[in-house]
Amino acid sequence: MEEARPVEPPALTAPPETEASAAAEASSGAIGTSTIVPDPSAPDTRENGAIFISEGRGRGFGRCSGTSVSSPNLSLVFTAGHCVFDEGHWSARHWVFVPAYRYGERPFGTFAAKWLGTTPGWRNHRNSNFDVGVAVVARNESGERLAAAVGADKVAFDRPPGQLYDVFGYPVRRPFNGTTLRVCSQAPYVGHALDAWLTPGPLQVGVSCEVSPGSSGGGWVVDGDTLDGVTSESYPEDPTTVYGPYFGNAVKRLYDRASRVR
Amino acid sequence: MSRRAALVAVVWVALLALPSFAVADGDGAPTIRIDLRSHDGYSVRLYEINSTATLKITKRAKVGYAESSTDYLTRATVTGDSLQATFGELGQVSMRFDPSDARPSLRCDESRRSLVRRGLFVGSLRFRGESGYVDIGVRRAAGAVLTPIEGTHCDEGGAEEGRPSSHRPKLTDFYAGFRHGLGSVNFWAETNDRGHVDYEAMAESGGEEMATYRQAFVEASPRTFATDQALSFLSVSPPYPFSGTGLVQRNPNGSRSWSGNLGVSFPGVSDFALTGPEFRTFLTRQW
Repeated sequence: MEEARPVEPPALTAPPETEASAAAEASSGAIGTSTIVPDPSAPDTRENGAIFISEGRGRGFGRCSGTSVSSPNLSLVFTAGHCVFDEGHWSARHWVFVPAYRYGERPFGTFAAKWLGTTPGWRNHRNSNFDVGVAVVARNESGERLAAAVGADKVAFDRPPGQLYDVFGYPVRRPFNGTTLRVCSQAPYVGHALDAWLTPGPLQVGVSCEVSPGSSGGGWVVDGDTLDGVTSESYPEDPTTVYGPYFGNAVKRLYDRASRVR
Repeated sequence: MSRRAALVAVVWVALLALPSFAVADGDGAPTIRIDLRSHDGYSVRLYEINSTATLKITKRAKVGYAESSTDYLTRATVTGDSLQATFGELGQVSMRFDPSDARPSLRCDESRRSLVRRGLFVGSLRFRGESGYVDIGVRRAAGAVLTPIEGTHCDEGGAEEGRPSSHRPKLTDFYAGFRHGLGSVNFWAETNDRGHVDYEAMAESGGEEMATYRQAFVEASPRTFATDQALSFLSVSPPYPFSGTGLVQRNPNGSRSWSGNLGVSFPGVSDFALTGPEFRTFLTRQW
């Protein structure tokens, strides 16, 4: 895969979300269980970041979320499969990860993808039970590798789905605006939706957390520092439940493959 | 079933990717169908596709066109010609295929040619529905293993019905439904071009070990469906498997309410409520 071209994230002009506005929204029932992460650049949250995918000149940016994860190459981002491969196309030449992105600021710089991967189940069949993607990223403008700059979460495989998850992401669509990191803390597992049974593979996991587009690929963290899922999708008529693929053998194989990329 | 939307956002150019559930990893893999005889007045089928075993239990009206069904879905283990699955606390199946056909046949199945091997499934299937509405114990059952033939296509010969649009009556559609968490409920009432009314209800529910998908349908007399030219109200009273009446009313503030005691009976669940404030409603008439 070709070296990715850097993409400059746009300076978002939407009014910044604040804790005060979040509290007001929460009291009105509009936000649900998510809250703003006060300082995304803090040591325990800066592995999380926003992903910008250029749609071409003048066509704006696709937005997703991702997580820096531990890997021998110190350069691995986990996200959703549809954030790296969608509609039959890879996004490699126009894909960047901005850890701890906040109100247009990039405290640790920009990391452009140089290799993207996903599971065969997502690439060949768009099976949501396998909607996991990875990016191996180049060094940032300061010459730092990703994990050296912001650290990295561990990755868990084959855990029982009944966990409490911290669900991170940069939701863009209303009532959010994508300017800063949000988290549903200790979001509970609720089970599997019927759709998960209609395709093969380990059943997609549902957790209680209100999200909107832009959250895709956001990390589901257990035990404070271990990635055990990513946000994939929700039903538009019920944004209070979010679904993500189970981290089993297929995700482990994807992780192993990406870890060997230099 | 409604579709979920991938949560990727495009700033400026709003676009939601909609994953397709029509194509699966299991393309080309054999599927299993087991025809079980009627039990307790219900017809019962078991099939396996995409590693999911589905036990479908259907009740049909003796007169007219009305039926309701419940599908129980769970992950299956398929090894060679054997099938194993557990339907939560309701039952389990462990059967292997004993082909009786010396020569497999070809048939058109969902637009693809499939190689069909017929025979007997031998083993054990135990299933006791909610509150014991059906109690199934089977050791042998006729069935088939269908293997799609890659790259083939066939036409099942379905023809579009209809009449010239200038002669079609103006059809009225009503929908009420909601989704919350792993479950959703949907109800449709639609006048058809035969002058009758089609009523349909669907309720799905996910879970940890099993999912259920319930459907009910009846075609009924237009007397069961009352509204006015301005669609200022709607009253529906569909017959079995439905019961009671649902009422759409316009409130003084312009909003619409959906109330009444309309319910439906699915296999395993009777008097399932189809009205309430959590339902979103749409009432339209074609022009």
